Amino acid sequence: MYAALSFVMLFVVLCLQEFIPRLGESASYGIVLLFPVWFLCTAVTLPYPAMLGVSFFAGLLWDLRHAIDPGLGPSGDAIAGATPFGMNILFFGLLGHLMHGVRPLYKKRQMGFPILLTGAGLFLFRLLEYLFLNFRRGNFQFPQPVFREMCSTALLSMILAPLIYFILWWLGRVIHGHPRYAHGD
Amino acid sequence: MKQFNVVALLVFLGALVWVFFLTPESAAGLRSTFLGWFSPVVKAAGAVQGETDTGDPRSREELLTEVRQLEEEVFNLRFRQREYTNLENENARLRADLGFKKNKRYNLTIPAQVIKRNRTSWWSTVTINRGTDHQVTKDLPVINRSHAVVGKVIPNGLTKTTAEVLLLTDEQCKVAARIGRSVSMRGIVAGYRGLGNLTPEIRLNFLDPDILLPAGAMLYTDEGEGQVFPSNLLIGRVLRQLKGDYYDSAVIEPQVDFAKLDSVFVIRTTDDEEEADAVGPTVEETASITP
Repeated sequence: MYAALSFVMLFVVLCLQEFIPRLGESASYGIVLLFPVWFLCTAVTLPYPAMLGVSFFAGLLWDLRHAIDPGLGPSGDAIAGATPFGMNILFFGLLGHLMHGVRPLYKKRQMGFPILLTGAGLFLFRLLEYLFLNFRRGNFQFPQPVFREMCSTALLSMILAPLIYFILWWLGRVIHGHPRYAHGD
Repeated sequence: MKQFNVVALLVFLGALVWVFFLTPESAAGLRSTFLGWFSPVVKAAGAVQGETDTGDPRSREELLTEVRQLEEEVFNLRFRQREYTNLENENARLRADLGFKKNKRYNLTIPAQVIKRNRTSWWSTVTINRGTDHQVTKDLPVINRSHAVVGKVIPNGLTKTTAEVLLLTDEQCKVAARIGRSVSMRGIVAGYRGLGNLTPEIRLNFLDPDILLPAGAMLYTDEGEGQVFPSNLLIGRVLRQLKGDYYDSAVIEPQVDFAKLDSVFVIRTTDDEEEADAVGPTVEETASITP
C-alpha cells in the first residue's frame, strides 16, 4: 500500500515542482528540486524491489517532462547533443541504490546521515546530468556559475529533506502501523 | 541478495534497455502525449507565477481608438500586399527560369502568449499557448513584436494546445547569423552551456579570425542551408569580440528581453500550411485567434 502510494505521490510532486520558481542572484539562481529530493527520500523508505520500481517511474516522468529534442540546426541536420530518452531512469536508478544503502539508519530513525546524503545525492544528480550534457556535446565546459547553481540547488533542496522524511515516516506509520515493519522487511 | 531482488533488478534493467531502444519517433510521441495530459498543470503553474498577464490597464475608449487605427493599418497593408504578391510571383517565375533553389516563404504568423517558463532542467525553454490545433509544427521560428528572434519550436514538445519553445539563450538553439550584409562576417549564434536560465548573453561562434567586428553592430539571421530561420530577423548587437585559436567568437546582447517575454509570434511558411492543414483549422481561423 505504501509502495503504491509512493508512485502517486511522485506524480503529485512532479506537478508541485512546476509551481516552484527559480531564486535570484543572491541564491546563485538555485531552485528547490522537490521532485528529485522526494524521490531520494522515498528510495530510503522502500524495500529494494519497490525502490527499483519507483526509480524507473521517477526517471520516466523526469524524462517525459524534460528530455528535449533540439530539432534542426542551421545546416538543416538534426542537432546532436540531447540527453537520450531513458537516461534519467539510469540516473535515478543509480541514486536510488545509493540512498537505499542508508535504509538501516532510517529504520533506526537515525536521520542525520540520510539527510546529508540526500543533499549529496541531489548534487550528484545535477552533476551527472551536466556531465552527460558535456559528454554528448563533445567538449568540456564547467563555468563557475553552473557549479554555484548546483551547490545552491543541492543545499536548498536538502533543507526540505527532514520534512519529507517526516512526512514519509508519518505516512508509513498511518498506513502500516510502524514504518520499521511496514515496508516489506 | 534475495532471489526476488535479483528478479526485480533484471526486470528494471530490461525495462531500461527497452526505453533506450525506443525509436526517436516513439519517444517523441510518448512525450507529446504526456505533455498533453500535463498541460493543465503547466498552465495553472504559469498563471500562479503570474506569467500569464491577462489584465490590460487601458480604458475602453483607448482600446476602441486603437482598434480603429489597427483596422486602417490592416486595410492599407492588405492593399500593399497585392503589389507584393505580384512581385513575389514574378520573382518565383524568374528564379524557376534560372534554376535557383526554391526559397521558403515565411508569410504567416501565429500570435501566442508565453504561459510558463521552464526553469527546472538545464534547457532554456518556455511554453506557449498554441499547439498543433493552431497549426504550430516542429522547428518553426518564434519572434517577438519587434521581429527579433526568440527561439524555435521544439519537435517533441508539441501538444494540441501548447508548444515548447527552445530559447535563443540555450546552447542547442543554433542560428546562422551575419553582421549587416557582409559575407565574411558570418557565424553561428548559440547560448552558453547550462547558463541559459542564468545569463541573457549569447555567443556568435565560428567567426573569421581576420576580421574585426565593430562593437555595437547589429546581428541578423542568415537563412543558412537548413532554412530554419528566415533571413534578416534581428538577433542582437555585438558587445565584444573574443580571440580564439582557430576562429573568433563574440559576445552578443540579444534584442529580446527574455526575462519579460509575454507575447510572441510563431512564423509559418506556406509549406508548413500544407503540412498542418491535415491536423488544424484554416488560416483564416488561425488569423482570428488573438493571444
